[in-house]
Amino acid sequence: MKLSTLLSKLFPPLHGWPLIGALVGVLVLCVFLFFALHALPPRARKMVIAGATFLAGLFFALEWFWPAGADGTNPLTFAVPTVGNVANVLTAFTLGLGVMSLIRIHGNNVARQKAGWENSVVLLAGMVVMAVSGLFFEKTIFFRSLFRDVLNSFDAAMFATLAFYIISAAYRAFRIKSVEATLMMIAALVVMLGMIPIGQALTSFIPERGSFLSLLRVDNISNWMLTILNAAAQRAINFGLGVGALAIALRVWLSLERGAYFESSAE
Amino acid sequence: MNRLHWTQTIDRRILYLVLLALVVIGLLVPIPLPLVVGPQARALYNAVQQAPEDKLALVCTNWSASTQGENRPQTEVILRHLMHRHIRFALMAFDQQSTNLARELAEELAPQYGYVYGRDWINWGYRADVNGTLKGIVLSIPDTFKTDSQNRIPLTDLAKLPVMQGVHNTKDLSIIVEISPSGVYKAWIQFVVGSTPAKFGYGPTSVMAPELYNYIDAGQMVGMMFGIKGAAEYERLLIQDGTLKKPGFTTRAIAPVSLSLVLLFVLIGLGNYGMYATRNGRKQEKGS
Repeated sequence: MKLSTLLSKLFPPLHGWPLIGALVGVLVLCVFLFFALHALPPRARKMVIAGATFLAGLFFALEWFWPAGADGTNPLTFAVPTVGNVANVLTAFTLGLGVMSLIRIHGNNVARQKAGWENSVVLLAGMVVMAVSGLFFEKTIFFRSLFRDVLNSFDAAMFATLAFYIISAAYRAFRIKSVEATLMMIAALVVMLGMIPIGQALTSFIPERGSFLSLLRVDNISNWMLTILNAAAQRAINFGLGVGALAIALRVWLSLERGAYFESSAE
Repeated sequence: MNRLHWTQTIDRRILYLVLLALVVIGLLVPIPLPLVVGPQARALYNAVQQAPEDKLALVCTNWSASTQGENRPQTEVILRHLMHRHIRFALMAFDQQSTNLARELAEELAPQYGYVYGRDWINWGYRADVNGTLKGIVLSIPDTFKTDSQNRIPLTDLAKLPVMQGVHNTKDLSIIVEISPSGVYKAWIQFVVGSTPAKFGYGPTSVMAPELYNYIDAGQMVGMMFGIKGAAEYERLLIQDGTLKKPGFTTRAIAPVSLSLVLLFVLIGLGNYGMYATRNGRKQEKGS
């Protein structure tokens, strides 16, 4: 019997009250597991977490490397969307973790009236108002106004101010003091000129293509630098990143990673 | 002190004011500027132009208000092109804000092209986990997203969502375009691109565009729009083929970008000129 068929028989789709009952049962089980995990000694807890991490990683590794049959699937393929949904739920929990952390830190600031506690009040109030309006008044003008007129405007304005800082920083810091800096400056100048119409206008009298002179157009030089020089450099960087990511992934999967973040709670 | 020393010590508030003035002038005063359509934007345009009309296109948006200056025009030209060609499309997002922003944009454009939600377009909504979701849609889109984002209708309910007719997994897509300021494209290339005949195009912000050329070179990405400039190039192509009657905000936004970059060159040149002039002046003072 196929694994997918067996699981379908063991766990048939539920609707109505049986579904609610199953959900409550799972919730109770999760709460029990949560407290059981906390009650375990640090070494045993670490082993449980390492085991769960290994199994989760093993599923994707096995599914990826297991040779596919004639229909392009292997015995684990059927479970990929479900595991993906579980991963989505787990990732959503990290958002909750972030919210809890914010409430703890800023709630503490307000309770102890630390320096700048007024800012913490604004942050907490903003978080509550946005959450409540999004959850219960999503289709109303209240939420739309908060989202579009306040949040979006603040977000866009904050990012737009970067342009001012970039202009100021480039003017103060970009000094050509070495050969490398000179090369970088020339490359940046050519690429940026090739990207903007004012730069393109400088050599617009040269035909766009079909002539040897076309190579001298600033937009063509810019494109050549991006597609040849830049692509080669990016490829080299990506190879390095790929090898590094593989090493990190293996260390995390096998729970070999060391450091404060991984060890402090377990030891 | 050298008389050119001032070129190194311009007050930053003056720089801010000059930049602000240039941006405002660029937006308000029409400046006729030539715009050469680059090969990457043309390739993406051609891919959308050649996408089969009987299949669903997928537009994944991961931008928020912070990068909407570049990413919104990119999304707009892609949606306009799809709607003009009467290709049905789906929206999805890995950014909480983007799912609303892209939906609002689609709702704004849909009446202009007679597009009806559920029949011609659909919003699959937001998902938090990129890898799990993309691996899921390769096998089954209805199993991964379950329902649409707007009305919570099951994706398998074809009576209410005829747009999903014949759409089971990524093999049934005509083209995939991601508009994003983030590195999600790597997951698309890892998990999706090899699984589907649909071509994959991209709309990044200008700062991240240089890292994408090797994927275009490898054929894993069909083309891209280089920030707002790429969107303006795409808009130019839409005007040439008659999809759009006249240039919109995207083309107009190129002028302030150009003027800002010219200011950047001038200021860098001024700062360096001042540095060398001051240094030479000191040398001459010592020599005499």
